[in-house]
Amino acid sequence: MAGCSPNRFQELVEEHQADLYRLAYSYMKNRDDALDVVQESILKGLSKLPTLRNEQSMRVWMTRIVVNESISRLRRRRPDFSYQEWDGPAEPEQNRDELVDLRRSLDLLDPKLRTVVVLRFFEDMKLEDIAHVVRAPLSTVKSRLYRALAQLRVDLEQKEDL
Amino acid sequence: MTQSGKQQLDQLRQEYRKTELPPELPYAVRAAFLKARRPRRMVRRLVTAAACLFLAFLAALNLSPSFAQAAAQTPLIGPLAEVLTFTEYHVATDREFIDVRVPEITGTSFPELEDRINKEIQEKIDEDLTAARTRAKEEYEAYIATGGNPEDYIPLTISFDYEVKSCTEKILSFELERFEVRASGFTDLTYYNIDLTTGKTLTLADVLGPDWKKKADAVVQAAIDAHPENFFTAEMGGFTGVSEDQRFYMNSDGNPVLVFEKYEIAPGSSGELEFEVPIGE
Repeated sequence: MAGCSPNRFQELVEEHQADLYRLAYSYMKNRDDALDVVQESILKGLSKLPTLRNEQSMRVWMTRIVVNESISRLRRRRPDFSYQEWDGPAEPEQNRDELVDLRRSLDLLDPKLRTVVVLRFFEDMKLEDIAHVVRAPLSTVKSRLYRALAQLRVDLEQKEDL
Repeated sequence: MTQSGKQQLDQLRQEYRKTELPPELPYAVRAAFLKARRPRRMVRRLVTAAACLFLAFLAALNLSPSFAQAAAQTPLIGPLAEVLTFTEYHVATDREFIDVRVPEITGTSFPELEDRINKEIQEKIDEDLTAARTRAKEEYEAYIATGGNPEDYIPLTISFDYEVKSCTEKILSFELERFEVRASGFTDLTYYNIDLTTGKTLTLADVLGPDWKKKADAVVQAAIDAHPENFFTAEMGGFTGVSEDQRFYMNSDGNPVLVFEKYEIAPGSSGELEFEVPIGE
């Protein structure tokens, strides 16, 4: 079956609502804004539904809409907004400092670089799919990932882990 | 460095996966879809998706008067059974979010059957909504009386919708879906499977034969055996065999599809489950 009907789209979105919310929350860092992003993304998705070629690409496609919506909202956000208002979850005593550093560095990363890290490591997306999400060549995605990891001072033992 | 970068990232990954989901998420998602739908109310929607139309045939009717005449005289074709929206209504206030499409069947050549099913559906929806609104009104008053902030109130959110599962000359099968959000979303599904040649409601025995239970059980059990971790065990109230009133619909291949609601035989994370039972020979 070609395309995706609005009803089927709704089913798929409801099925993946937790993923969409988590992704939005990773940018917005608060509940209300993340919910707004999810809602706005649904409206955008519905209006662009005729351009969705098949169901299989729905995840990539919807991820793209959520990422774009989140980033454009971050840009519009008051300049005095600070992630320092957000403490993050508690963690075991050991490793606390390193983890806090890493979390903070991740939050301060340029959204374009952070997107690649989040999608690759937290959403387990393939690099090819990420390239579709951010509409950039695969080589650009790889280079963003390396730059991001360098800034985060994360040394993966094996680059193949990417 | 006491930890490798990979381990640290994995820890952040776990935090990410554990992001707390707000209880109003399903409501917000539904609300977005309702919002998108609302402007279209102006144009009274013809329910093309639900109607069982043989498009090529209709095109021929439009194009060729002689073909239409010939068709009208052919008793085989007869009236086309379809499911239409009898009525639809929407309420969107701070306290209620109601989105209802009431289906009705027509063109089956069994008027009493149509009346009975249409009446049953309409009464079911009416009674349900009346009860839900009364309950929600009491809850709201109790919520305010105990100092709740009206702005934080999660409105009563209910929708009724339907979907045609299959429609052939012989069988009409459709789903009536009731969805309600309170703390999380709940879906109730009712199926109508009509034998258009006899005007009776189909049972699994009609479709699968006398050993329907054995066939149906085998399909479900095979799926459970393949991934037992996704299902409740029998001790936990899991699958113990299909029941006499097992929910099912008929798909376009003419096979019955068993439907289990969320939590019926598996944890909520598995959602609603469907099992197609091939009719075989």
